[in-house]
Amino acid sequence: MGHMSENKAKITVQVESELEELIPGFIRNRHHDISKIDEHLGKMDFDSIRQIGHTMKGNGAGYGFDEISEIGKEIESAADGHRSDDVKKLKDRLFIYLNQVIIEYI
Amino acid sequence: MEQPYILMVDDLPENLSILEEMLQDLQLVPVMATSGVEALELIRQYDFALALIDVQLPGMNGFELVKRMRENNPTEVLPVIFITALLSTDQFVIEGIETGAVDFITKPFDHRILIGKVKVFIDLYLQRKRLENEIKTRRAVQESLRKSEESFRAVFESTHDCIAVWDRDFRFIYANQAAVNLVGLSREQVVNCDIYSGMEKVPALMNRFVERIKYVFETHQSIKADDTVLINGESVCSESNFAPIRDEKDKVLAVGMFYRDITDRKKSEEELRLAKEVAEEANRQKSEFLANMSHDIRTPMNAILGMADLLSETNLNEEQRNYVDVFRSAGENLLNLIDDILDLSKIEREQFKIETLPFKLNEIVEKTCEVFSISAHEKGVELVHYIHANVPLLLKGDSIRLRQILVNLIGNAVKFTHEGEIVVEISNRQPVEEDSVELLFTVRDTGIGIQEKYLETIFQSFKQADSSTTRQYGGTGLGLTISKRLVELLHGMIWVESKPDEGSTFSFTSCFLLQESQPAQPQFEKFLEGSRILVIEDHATNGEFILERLKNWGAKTALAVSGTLGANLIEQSLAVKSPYDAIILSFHLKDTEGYEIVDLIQARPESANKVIVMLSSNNYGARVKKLKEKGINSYLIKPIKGKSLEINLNKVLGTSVPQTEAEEDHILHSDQTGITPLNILLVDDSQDNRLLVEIYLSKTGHLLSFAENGQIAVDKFKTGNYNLILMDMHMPVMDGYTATREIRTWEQEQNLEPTRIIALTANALKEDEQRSLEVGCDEHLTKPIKKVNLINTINKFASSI
Repeated sequence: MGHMSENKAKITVQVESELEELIPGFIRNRHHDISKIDEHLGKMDFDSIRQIGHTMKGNGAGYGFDEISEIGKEIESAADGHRSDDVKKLKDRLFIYLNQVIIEYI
Repeated sequence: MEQPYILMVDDLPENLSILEEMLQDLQLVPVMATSGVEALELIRQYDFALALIDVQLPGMNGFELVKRMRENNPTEVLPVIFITALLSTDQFVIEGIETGAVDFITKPFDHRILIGKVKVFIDLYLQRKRLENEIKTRRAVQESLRKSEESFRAVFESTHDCIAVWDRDFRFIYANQAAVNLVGLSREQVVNCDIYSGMEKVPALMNRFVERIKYVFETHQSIKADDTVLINGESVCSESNFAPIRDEKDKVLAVGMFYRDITDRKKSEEELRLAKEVAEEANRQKSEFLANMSHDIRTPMNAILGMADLLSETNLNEEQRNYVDVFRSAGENLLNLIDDILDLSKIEREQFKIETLPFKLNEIVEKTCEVFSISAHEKGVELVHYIHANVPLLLKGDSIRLRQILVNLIGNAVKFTHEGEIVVEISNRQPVEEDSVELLFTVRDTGIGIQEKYLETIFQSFKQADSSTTRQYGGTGLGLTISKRLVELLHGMIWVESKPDEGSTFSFTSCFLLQESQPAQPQFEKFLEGSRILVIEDHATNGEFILERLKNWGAKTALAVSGTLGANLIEQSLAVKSPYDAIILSFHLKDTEGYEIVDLIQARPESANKVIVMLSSNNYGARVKKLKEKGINSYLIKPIKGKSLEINLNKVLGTSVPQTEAEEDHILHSDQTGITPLNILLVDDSQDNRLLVEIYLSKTGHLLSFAENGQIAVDKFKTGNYNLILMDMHMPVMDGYTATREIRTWEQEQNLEPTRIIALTANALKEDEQRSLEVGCDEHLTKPIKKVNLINTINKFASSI
């Protein structure tokens, strides 16, 4: 990712090499998730946010990103409780994670 | 030499006849005159060797005749013999001698004396003639030598190259005009002066020339040299050759030099080299720019595509949805193009690293063909691959690049072929060496072909055959360029042969190392020894390849090229009570419905269950189901893999499956281990998840279709023939619970057996599992899906049917 800062701590994630061609699209979709969450937050549409969190929870670890599943799970629960501040924090956590993660194909 | 002429003069013709008769043996040409006047006229015309003249001629006597003759032509010394009866006085003889006569013969004369005297003069004449001829020839040779020397001299003088010759004292023997110009003196000054004073105006050259002339005299060898020296303040480049000039005893008499000014040539070479460097640098910068730009385009493109996704999820009317679809697909095409450009610029910047890793050739080929088989079969195009039996399969090299080349070539073939076949064939280009092999890959299609005028440019960037091809078939036109570069990186060659409307054959070569442990090739195991196998296939290439495989395995084979023929052969074999041990049947025959032949085979206990059915890769689920109802458990999905064929033959023949390395891939290669390939419907709204499952199942041989929500799933289920549904429970439009209920209800209405449905949920709660089972799911898998869990669950089910 172009705007990744070199100073920040990196998180290395190991991903099966057969998934290599899917990973850029997967990461791209998580960036879309972030912009969608922003949009839904503006309308206080917690159902849609919950759905996004749910999908993230279901997919993240499948691709090897357990953290994304974890964040998804917490977004789902925050949306359930209509806790918009928590959703915002989780959204930022996802953003930071996406910019820190380094993928090592195995 | 011609016969000499002899002149005979006598006023009495009978005397002339007697002379002629006497001399007839001497091979002479007699010319006769009866008067002095007549004789003089003849002497003017002919070159006589001798004259026999009667002295007593009327009018002008013999002496007068000879006097006149001498006066007319003082240089000509024609010998004369006088014939006379009057040799009475010395005075007469003296008079005769004074006229130049050489002899007298007195009448009456003995013919032997006459012949003897004549012969002497004729011999003298002949000798003289020979000498004259010799002199003439020598003169001609001298003349031609003189002319040739002159012409050489003219050539030497006219050339711009310098030619000079020096003797042992370093004196100029010869210098042509160019050499004279070079040393800056006049010709007179140069000739005979030594090299030191002759070349004092060009000392830099002189010193080098002196050394080389010395060298040639000492070694007797030629020497070539290049010089760059300052002459009149200008840098002059030259090339020169100094060679020995020898006499007939091989002694070196002189040294000849040939010298050429190549300053202009050097200058143009330098300019060309600089221009090439500039061009290469520009090309490198272009590649770099393309790469950077491509990256920069990708970033906003991703945003555009993402926004298009978002937009398509909102409420749109049909027109708006069309617009969104168009710019989504255009965006995706653009991304593909950018990926191609990135690939190409990586190659051009030499950033591609070629790997040398172990791989199995058959796996690469089979998997690559598998990817394209559905789209080929949907068009009714047969896709066949065949690796010749002597090709080693365990190789080391860059399988990713190899696959990329094959994908490009086979992808093109599928794109441009509307009927017929695509044959991927691999053979050894050279005999296998101890640790390496050079392979020849060909991809042959019966597609639209390429016009001859485009064949040359087809491997160049952005060139499809013509721009209308791009419009009609899409694509970036970079695939072949990338393939060519990749083949070159793999130290191979790529070429194409093609005819419009007949098809194209793309071929490439590549070298690979052999893996250390090269096991005995299963192709050569004669496990079918003694078996009789019938192949029913109207597709010639596929039939041939299967037959060759069976023969390599030791089987006796028969090929039926139509269903009717196949049915006849089966009936005959049953009638004579020697049924085939196995029948390999192509299900999609032009003349016969596959089920007809299956029924024929299954109807008789001798042939029942001996058949292996070959199905095309699209929509085989329903056929598999129906074949199972008929008791058929062995089938192959085209394109046919050697391993699958072997396993199924063992199954039908009841022989044991050899333990091979296929065991280790047990989970992944379900089709190779005899597990039924399934037609699976994956219902999931998340594209990420659909892609993930697709990758996970790509190697299993199961066929996967997709539905984005419950509604689409229900619609697809009603028209397709699925063995298994993977159902996500949380989806927009219609969720998995509702969809499962609707499917179950429809199955009951249609009196169908319930299809297996596996629920996928991201909720690990017991209630979720309970709820999915309640609506009719058979099993429950928790997301995130783990590959092993997913495949084991599917295979557990596959092996139970």
